[in-house]
Amino acid sequence: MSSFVSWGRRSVLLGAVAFGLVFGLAVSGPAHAAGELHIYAWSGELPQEIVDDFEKETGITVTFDTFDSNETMMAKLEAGATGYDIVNPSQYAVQILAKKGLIEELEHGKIANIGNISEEFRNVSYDSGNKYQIPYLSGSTGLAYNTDCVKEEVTSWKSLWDEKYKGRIYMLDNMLAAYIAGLQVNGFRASSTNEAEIAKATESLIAQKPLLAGYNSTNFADLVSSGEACLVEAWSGTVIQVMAENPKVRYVLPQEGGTMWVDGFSVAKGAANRDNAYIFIDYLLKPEVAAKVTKLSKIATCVGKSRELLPPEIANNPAIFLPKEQVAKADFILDAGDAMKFYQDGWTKVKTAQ
Amino acid sequence: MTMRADAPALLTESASSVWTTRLARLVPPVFTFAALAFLFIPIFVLIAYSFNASRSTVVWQGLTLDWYAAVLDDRRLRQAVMNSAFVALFAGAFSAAIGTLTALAIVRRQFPGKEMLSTALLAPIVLPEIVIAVALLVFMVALKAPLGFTSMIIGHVLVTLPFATLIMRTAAVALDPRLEEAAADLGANEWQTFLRVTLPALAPAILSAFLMAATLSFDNFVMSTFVTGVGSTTLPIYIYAQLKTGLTPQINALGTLLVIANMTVLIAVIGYQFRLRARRQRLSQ
Repeated sequence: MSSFVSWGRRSVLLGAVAFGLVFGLAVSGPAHAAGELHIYAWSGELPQEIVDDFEKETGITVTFDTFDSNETMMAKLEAGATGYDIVNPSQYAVQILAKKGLIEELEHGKIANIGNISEEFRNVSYDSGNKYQIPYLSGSTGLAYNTDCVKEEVTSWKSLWDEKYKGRIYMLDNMLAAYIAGLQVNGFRASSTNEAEIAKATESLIAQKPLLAGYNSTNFADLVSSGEACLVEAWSGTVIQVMAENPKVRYVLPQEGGTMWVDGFSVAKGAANRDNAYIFIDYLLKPEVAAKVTKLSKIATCVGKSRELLPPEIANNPAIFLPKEQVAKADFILDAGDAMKFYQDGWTKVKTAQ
Repeated sequence: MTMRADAPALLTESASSVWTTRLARLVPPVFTFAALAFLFIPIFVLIAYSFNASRSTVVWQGLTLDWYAAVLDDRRLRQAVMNSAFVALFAGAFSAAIGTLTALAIVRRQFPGKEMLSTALLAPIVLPEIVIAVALLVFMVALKAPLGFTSMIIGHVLVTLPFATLIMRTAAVALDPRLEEAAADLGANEWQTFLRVTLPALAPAILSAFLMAATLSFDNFVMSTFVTGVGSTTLPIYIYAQLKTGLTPQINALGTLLVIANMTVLIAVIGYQFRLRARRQRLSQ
């Protein structure tokens, strides 16, 4: 009897283990089945409609996962065994991922539409010749202000240090973004790796702190739209959403340059569905597809020809498509390498300053 | 004379002390009410702004139901809710099952290392979740196991198991061992006793443990962000990822729907326990 009982208990355990295994297999599924594509991308940049269209046209089943920052995405890839085919890194992340061998050198022969990439994005400093990333969506980091409160025309980062707006200014709650203003207001490049320059920027950011209402990178656009904030350091893609609703909100790239960001697509090392990844990238580079992306997400693509296909209120919106000469002047945030330590130490000082 | 002069003073003093006591008595309820209001007001604000015609989550512009349509229309959001529900269901079930068996072992059996096990089970509560999450990620990578639903469910079981076990231990302690002895006296073997006596008696607690674990799993972000893989993006991860382009009242609408769903489950559970109690009373009469 007792042996029967213990057998019974063991069988329950075995049953549970077996169930777990079967279940595990059932959900992980056949990862290498034909006609699949696993994309790991920013949320809100590549609309689902584009993915739906692509699935309909090609019959490829797309799995679309989203990440909240380049750092999260890089940590995932670094851990290995992710199963993603396409990732969506920003410029500095491309440098880091390429250096670590986590993304593949692109086979341009498989991308028929590669010629559709605009001239100014073909030889970007972080990835010359589009070796690792097909640049796709771009925007800028600049200044947004509310004309109810700011009567003058804002042209410089200096306005973020203006006593007049004390308590009505927000800076982006993001280290590298805050340093764009800190460095450029002193006449340095936003991608500086010079210790003395970064230290000077740190001083400026600390000096600015008493004027700030806070650091905010989530609803700064709402705050400037409601008039709670007069002036904010802003990402263009976020501000554009409130500008459609509130004509009092303006967006400018300051005369010191501001920065551009470029999110593009790279093929993850060892991608299981490599061919489908190239089919997808090629699809995105069609002008009519790129135009649809911009229409839905209000973000400019790097496919120049798409601009002609857009209605004038989008094609001529300076917050979406920046003037060419401003694009040429803007800095890219790049991988700071060893200088990252200066930024981190400085940012800690800024954040803890009274 | 002095006495008489003092008397009114004494009187007013005692009157004022009566007032102070009365006031003092008012403090706890007022304070409690204020604290509760502070906790619940954001939920009402959330619900109110889900009807906001503006795409801002702070500026009011008028009434609309568009955000509810946007929730139902958003395929990625729907997928994320489904993924969350799927993970929560399995993580909750595994946690409740393992928690029940562990609790029974700790309460009913003697075995070497019992004290250590019951302490070790509390470790995931004490340790920062991020540490456990990193450890699991490293372990999964070392095993070359792909990240996805399996790793998500394992991770969520890890995080929720201590809570499920705690609930089940309390229930197991309260369970009268004589019931099981009686079953054995009447000829039931250990397996039959477990199925027909122990399990039904523990059923309400198992349901609580399951709901607790499933809820914690549904909300989980820290563990999820580390061990999620292809196709297993859950709701908290999806919402957090949306911060880059800014949140809209769509999130409020979704939140409102979740509040309604939670309330429905809660009411169903309370109703079920109420019926159960009524039936027991009828049986004992």
